[in-house]
Amino acid sequence: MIRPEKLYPPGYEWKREVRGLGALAAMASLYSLIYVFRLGTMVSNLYQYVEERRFLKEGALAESFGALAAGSWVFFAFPLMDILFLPLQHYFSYWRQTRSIYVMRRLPGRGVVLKSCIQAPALYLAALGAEAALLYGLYLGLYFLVVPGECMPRFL
Amino acid sequence: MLEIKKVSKTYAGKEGPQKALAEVELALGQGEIVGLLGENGAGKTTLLKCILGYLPCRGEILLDGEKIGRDNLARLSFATCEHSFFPNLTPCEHREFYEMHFGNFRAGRFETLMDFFELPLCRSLKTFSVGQQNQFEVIMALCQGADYILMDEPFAGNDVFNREDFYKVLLGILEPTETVLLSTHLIGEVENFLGRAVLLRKGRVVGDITTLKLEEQGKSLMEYVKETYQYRPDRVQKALEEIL
Repeated sequence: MIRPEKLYPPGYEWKREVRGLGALAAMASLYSLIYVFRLGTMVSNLYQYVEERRFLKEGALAESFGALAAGSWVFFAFPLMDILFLPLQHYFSYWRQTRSIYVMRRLPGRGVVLKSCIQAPALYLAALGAEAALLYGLYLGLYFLVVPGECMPRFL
Repeated sequence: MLEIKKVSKTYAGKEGPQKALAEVELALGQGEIVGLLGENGAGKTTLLKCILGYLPCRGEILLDGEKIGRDNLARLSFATCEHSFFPNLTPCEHREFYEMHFGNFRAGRFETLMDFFELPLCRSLKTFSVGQQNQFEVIMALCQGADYILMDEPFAGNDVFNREDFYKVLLGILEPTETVLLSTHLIGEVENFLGRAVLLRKGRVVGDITTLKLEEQGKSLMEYVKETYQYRPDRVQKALEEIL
């Protein structure tokens, strides 16, 4: 099993980076829950209530999934921007306090500096993508679960 | 053999290009201990960084006839007063890192030197005093397993006893195949330690002499440096007289 610190420049404070990025990703996920509220409101608008009984409105058509989910992902831009900036931050860490870049540039192995700068951000990107995909899948499943078949729009 | 052929370096300055090195020619053989001496701004650091490829330059730098590149750069090590260790790592972690990347890492020498200088093995380098950090910087340059060990003012901040110890240890541990190029201002201190002195002035090599030759001439290294630099000892007295 690979030790996480091997993915970063030597001595890099990676735990702080992971915590910060984790918080941003959690915020993005929380914000995306706005979709669930929108979905709930939209579904309840498909119905009318007669003497406390719920009936589908005549010709009621649900909003498309795309329209409902639009904007739910906007907070993912923050961790994404952070991740895109991280390779530079990793690289400049070799100039912070000392010039450890001098040692890195003498290493016989090819691409060691590059790897230490992009490995972790690439993993973050994959994790963030997976998180967004998982939420997307969940939300889409939820859409199919709660929207009555006869109200489904032609295009999702 | 490390050959430096017609190496020139120019920096862009506010008042036009500044020549830092001008056609420097130098050859370092195996096993030599060479002092690179010169006033501030003479080009000592620039020359070392050009050799290591940290600064682009004109001319040619060859290591046993080959250009210095990825394949042979690990044959050079570098200790600098700017420090090049990883401040958040401990000496133990440095050893692990060097062992992983430098096949010729000298683990035995590392342990001996760490022990001799009584440096803690499990504390991060950022908690070390400047003197200890200097010692560690030099230790890593000596233990990398390089054939050519370049040092740029490595003892700035160390006390005189400490420096003295280091010179003695260096002489004791270096193998005949190891070459040291030491840039320093401490001419008097390194005199007995060097085998050869190269003097730089305004980016040019203005002197290159072995200490054996100096002995034959009955001169001290300081005298040679002053002579080569055309140092005028009466200059200060005259200036003071003019002021007063």
